[in-house]
Amino acid sequence: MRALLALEDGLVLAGESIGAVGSTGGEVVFTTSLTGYQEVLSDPSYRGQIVVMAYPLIGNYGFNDAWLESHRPQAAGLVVRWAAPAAGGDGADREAGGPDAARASAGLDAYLRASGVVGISGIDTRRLVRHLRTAGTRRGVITTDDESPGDLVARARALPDLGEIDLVAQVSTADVVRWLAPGPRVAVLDCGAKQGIVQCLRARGCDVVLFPHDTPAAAIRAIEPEGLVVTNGPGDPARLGALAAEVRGLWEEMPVMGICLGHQVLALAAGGRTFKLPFGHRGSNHPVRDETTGRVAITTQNHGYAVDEASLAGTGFEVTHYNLHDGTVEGMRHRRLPVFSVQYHPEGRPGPQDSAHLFDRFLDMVRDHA
Amino acid sequence: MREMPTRTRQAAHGLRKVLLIGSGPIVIGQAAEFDYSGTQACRTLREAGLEVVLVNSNPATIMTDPEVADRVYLEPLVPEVVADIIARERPQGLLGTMGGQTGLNLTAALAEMGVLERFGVRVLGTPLEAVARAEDRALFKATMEALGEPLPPSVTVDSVDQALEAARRLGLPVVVRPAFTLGGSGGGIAATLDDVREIASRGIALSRIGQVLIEKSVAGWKEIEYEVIRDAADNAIVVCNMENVDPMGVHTGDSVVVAPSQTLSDYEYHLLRTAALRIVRGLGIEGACNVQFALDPTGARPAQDAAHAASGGAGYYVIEVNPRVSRSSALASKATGYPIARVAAQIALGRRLDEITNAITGGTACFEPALDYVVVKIPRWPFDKFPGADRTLGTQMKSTGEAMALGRTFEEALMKGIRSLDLGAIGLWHRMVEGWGHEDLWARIRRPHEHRLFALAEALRRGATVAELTAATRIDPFFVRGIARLVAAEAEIRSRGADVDAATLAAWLRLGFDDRALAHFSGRTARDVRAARRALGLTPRYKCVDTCAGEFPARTPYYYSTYEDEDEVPPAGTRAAVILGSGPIRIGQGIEFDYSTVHGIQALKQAGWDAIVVNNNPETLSTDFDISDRLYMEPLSPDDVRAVVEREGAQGVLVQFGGQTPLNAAIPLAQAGIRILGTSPEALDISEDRRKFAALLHELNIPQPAGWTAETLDEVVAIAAREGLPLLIRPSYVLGGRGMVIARTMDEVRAAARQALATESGPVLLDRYLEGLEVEMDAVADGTNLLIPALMEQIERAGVHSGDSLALLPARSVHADVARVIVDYAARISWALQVRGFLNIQFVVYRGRPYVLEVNLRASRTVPFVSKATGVPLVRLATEVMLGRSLAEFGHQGVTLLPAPARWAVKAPVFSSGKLFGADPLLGPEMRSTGEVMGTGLTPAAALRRAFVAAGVPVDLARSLLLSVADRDKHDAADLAATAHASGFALIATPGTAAAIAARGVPVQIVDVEEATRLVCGRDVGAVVNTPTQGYQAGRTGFTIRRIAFEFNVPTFTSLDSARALIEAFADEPHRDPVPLLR
Ligand SMILES: Nc1ncnc2c1ncn2[C@@H]1O[C@H](COP(=O)(O)OP(=O)(O)O)[C@@H](O)[C@H]1O
Ligand SMILES: Nc1ncnc2c1ncn2[C@@H]1O[C@H](COP(=O)(O)OP(=O)(O)O)[C@@H](O)[C@H]1O
Ligand SMILES: [Mg+2]
Ligand SMILES: [Mg+2]
Repeated sequence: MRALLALEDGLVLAGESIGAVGSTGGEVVFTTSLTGYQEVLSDPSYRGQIVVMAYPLIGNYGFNDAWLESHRPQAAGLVVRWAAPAAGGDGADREAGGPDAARASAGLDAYLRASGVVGISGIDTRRLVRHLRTAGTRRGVITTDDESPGDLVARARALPDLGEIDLVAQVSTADVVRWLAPGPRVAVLDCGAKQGIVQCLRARGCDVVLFPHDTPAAAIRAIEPEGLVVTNGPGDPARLGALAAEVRGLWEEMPVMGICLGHQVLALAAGGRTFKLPFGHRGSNHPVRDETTGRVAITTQNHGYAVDEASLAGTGFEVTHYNLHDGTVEGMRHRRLPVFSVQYHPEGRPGPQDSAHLFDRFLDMVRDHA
Repeated sequence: MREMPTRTRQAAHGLRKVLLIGSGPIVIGQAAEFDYSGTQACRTLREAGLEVVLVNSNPATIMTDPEVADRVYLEPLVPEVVADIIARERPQGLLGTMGGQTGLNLTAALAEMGVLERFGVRVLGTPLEAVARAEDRALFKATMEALGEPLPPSVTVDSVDQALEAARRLGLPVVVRPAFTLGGSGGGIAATLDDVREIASRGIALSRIGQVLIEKSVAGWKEIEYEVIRDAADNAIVVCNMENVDPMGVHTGDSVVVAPSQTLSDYEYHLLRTAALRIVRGLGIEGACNVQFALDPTGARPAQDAAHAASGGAGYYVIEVNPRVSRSSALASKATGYPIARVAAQIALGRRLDEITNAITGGTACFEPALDYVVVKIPRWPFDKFPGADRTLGTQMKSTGEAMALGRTFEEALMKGIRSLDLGAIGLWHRMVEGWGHEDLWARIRRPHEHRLFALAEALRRGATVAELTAATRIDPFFVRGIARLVAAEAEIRSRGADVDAATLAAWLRLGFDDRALAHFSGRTARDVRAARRALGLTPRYKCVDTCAGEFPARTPYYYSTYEDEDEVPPAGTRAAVILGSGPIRIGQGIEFDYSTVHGIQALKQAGWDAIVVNNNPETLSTDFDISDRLYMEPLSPDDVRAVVEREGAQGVLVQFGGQTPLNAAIPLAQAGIRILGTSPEALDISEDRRKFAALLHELNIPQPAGWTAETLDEVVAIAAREGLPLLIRPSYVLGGRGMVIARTMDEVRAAARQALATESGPVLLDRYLEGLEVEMDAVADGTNLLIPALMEQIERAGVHSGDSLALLPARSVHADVARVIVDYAARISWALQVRGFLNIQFVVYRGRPYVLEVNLRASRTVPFVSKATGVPLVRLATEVMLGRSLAEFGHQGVTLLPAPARWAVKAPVFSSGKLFGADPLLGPEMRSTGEVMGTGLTPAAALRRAFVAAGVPVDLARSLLLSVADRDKHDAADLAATAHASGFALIATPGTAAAIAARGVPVQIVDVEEATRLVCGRDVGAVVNTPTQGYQAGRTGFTIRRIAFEFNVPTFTSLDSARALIEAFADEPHRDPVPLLR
């Protein structure tokens, strides 16, 4: 079936429908990750966004619940050059004995349909990436309805700006979830947390307690956590003033680690500002230098906003990490308190494990603090 | 993130002069990739303000151009000579990691000899200890265990019994790996104990230390490579990962390879990536390196602990680490646009990755490239040259070259890759498949085989299922399904014909079908298909290779074609020409042609033109993005080239540099109305067409060996009876002398004729075989003036392919008036054909009279050799002439044969036959060498000696010479033996030969064949002289001795002429003065 992709600036591309029939709209962004399409789809930070995969072949190695970063795909839509077709039960996967045999055969189309995601394939994704790179992030729609390009562009323009939507509320956990363990008790403030973050903590023996984003500081205190992690999530950090206030109240009391949106929240809490990047950082290959060690790590990134370095002056925080591509802030720490944060994803998924040691650093702080 | 000069100065502290070691002659497993990386390194070092001294024995390389390094030594790559060079030049640093295994071994040897210490030479880049940790099996094993990285269980043994015992313990199949051999020489997978016995005994004998490793086989697992770069500050990145389509068991050099990996989950990708970084850090690499893994196709699982991992429970094994740039790093550089060797060279100077600039984006080099296309690499094998050789593939590399293709789908890249191989295939179809019966077909599928790709497609055509093929090959279903989609499309094209709606046609084009394939399957002409395609507005679009998947603006014009919306090529300059490379390296079309291509590019740029290159060989320098103005990584088929020319609106095409491939494209391109710069297509056609050419020579009344054509065996026999013997017999369609046989007896005539009739439809060609002196020239002509830098003579008499014979420059046995005649013939030919560019002529001087063997109106194999021996910039002159200038403008008025240069130069061939099991290394009219070395000296003998040493003949031949020759040669052999004895050689011979020698009163030790082979295996002889009784026939005593000699790397001479040269070379005292090339 034919499908169309239209951007607010008038660019309209025709392709093949994949996934659910119908329409979807959102902020159109691209990621350059070569692997991890399922992790990308299910990363809550992509809530409200149509993801363009720069790598052309998607679905090659099948699908597996183990690769989900949340209980379901979150992206508003998916744009690919080529979608791995259903193997039509050719039985080859069974011959190869792969673990994802059955799923691999299903193909991307079926997977998206089953999870209600509207997608489009056969797109010159490189052209689209280059367009977004120069024009900047754009709102857009994908539809299988046959509508005139003009109307579609109008629909794209009518979409609300992501900054106007309370996306965090849509993806944060509804109730407190706890994974009992003998290790240090760590509260995780869920702004749209990736499974990877929780698992990195659990793998280190932590007693993890996941809290909804709007939990008051008092309720968090109540379980006497030894440390706090503020997670990644979707949307404009500027909306999260209230959340920031609660966090500010906690960091005097316990070590705090911020990841991605969590990092931005800490900056706001400290009185800093954030701003929107022209087309964001999304991929598994972003070089970040730790100025405290001079070492460079290749990192996974997924953010459309960044912390304004100047705004950190006099907040008690100092910048510890920079992005080697555009020099933007990638990490900071409090001069006095055991509080630090990174703009990137130490848990990877998709992407490198180079920075997993940051979780150890956090837990060292927790132990020293106790 | 710009470089910080201050730091650099500190890092390169005290460094002013650096010695860089090249990789020597091209052999299987060590090819053009090291000219590419070495040249990149030279440029980088010089940009850093250092003086670069380069040593390499291979004249056909760019790195040995006087312009590339400050001082170039075309000298043998043996420790003694390099030591002399160090003593003479006194460099402070040495970079050995750019010269392949040769470079590493030399560096190690020099360190062991204490030379580096004595002269205070610092080893730059990866330290020797780190190299040892990666190369020495035991050290490597220890290091990996310390890191908790799993290696396949293995046992080191030094006897066949121990090998059998180990195999029983590990369970069959096992892999046998000899210690310290290049490219897996002598190794293999043993499925039975008998295999173990055979391979182990060979391996033990081949190994420098008589050791082999018996290793658990994981054949069938996925084979994955990571290209890693680490700096001294411990920053490390992965430039690219690559997946072998052919699973473990087929050498990566012989596998179809894709980049990036296609069937690895993110978890698996990063499991191996993390392991690769840990390993590279553990080894202490400082620069580039390559890590190979085997991955369990049933999925990797997290390792609970080191022990669990070591047991293989991690779902992967570490296979090996190459602590240097490699064929894979060249491939990775071209696949991503990330110049690994350049970055590695800067790291060797102490820079940190984050201080180095990514030349393409202008950003930092400290990041990991992101691809938005699929890369497919396909090897090319030399079996067509070795009828007897075993065409199945295993753990030992057999291919001579490879083609790389980029596309936006696997199918598209695969189809372009096959087109680039230049095999006469149409997509996945080749006429040979029609001849395959059920068994032939499945034999090529079950055991990895040169033609497995075609076999898979054919099996699908004949109704096999993807599941069956997956089961039979262990190739991941993802790839088999891609092939199945192509085969399904073939059928659809067959049934629907080529005039279909735009959407359908676009779908086929996006699968990689070109006009020719669409025409073939739909039964229409390519012209119609093309017209229909263009009528629908379907033309290729060109996309940029930018290392970052479009995330940042790219500076470098490196393009590939696909059928999508956007084309990224900016308008071309006003004066632009397309220059065609030579595609994958194969015997007869080697690195020499890339040398000419690169010089053509440079000349074109100097002349103020935009040089647009089309080529598909990832190993070479011509596909380095900053050599030309624009690079198109595309097949060299006329259609693909035409598309580029039309897209660029180029003034014309230069076809004289890349060898036969571009020449073959010339006529079709001309017919398409594209201008061929230089010699006219008509003239090219005459030189290539046997009849037209004979007519021309007749008209010019220039003699040529008499020739006849015959359609049937009886005709051949009749002609032979009438005209007499010996005759040279070959099938009508000949590339690189393929299928040529010298027939001296009627039986040989029949045998040869049968073979010729079998190989090719069409007549058999017969030539009078003139066993004279072969003389060759490479000249430049402009239609009026003719410049001949020198005449070369082949040491071996005609009948040995010019590419395989020792060449001496200038020719010493050509009488002055014969030379005059030769020059006159050349001049008249150049005028008659109005040659504008290169002119290569081969003559045979028979009974004092020169005959023309063939004329090539293109750069020949010997252009680099001649340029270096005479200092004449042949390629630059030829290019200027092609662009319309006259030789007179460069001071070469009229017809000139330049006076002899100050030094004699010898070109010696180097063979890889040892790697091709069952191949007969016999010299003949069939070219079989893969590479060459050059030696120079003040006397022919000195030059010969230098060349022999460079070619691997032991410096001290104090050991003995083993002779075993055909009856026909016994008399000459006796003469030879006499000279040899006089020059102090000890002689050993098989009975017949010995008798002849003894009859001459020369002392000789008599041995039977068994004894002879034993001596060879024990390396108790310095060299073997063995001439064949008849055309190649396996199993005969001569063949056995030759074969063994080759496998054990004992210099073998199958022509008495070469042997005579050897004795001349080693008769007088060696001179030990390495001399730099004049600039
Ligand atoms: N344990 C093994 N089981 C099966 N195949 C193997 C094994 N080890 C190596 N191979 C195969 O042999 C090839 C050559 O081995 P490698 O260690 O890479 O030697 P080389 O130095 O020649 O590259 C590999 O590419 C792989 O396909
Ligand atoms: N008539 C002949 N007499 C003697 N030797 C010949 C004759 N024709 C060809 N040869 C030998 O065969 C070799 C290859 O023949 P050639 O025509 O040059 O083929 P190619 O195209 O491979 O160079 C020559 O280098 C020469 O040694
Ligand atoms: Mg290898
Ligand atoms: Mg020839």
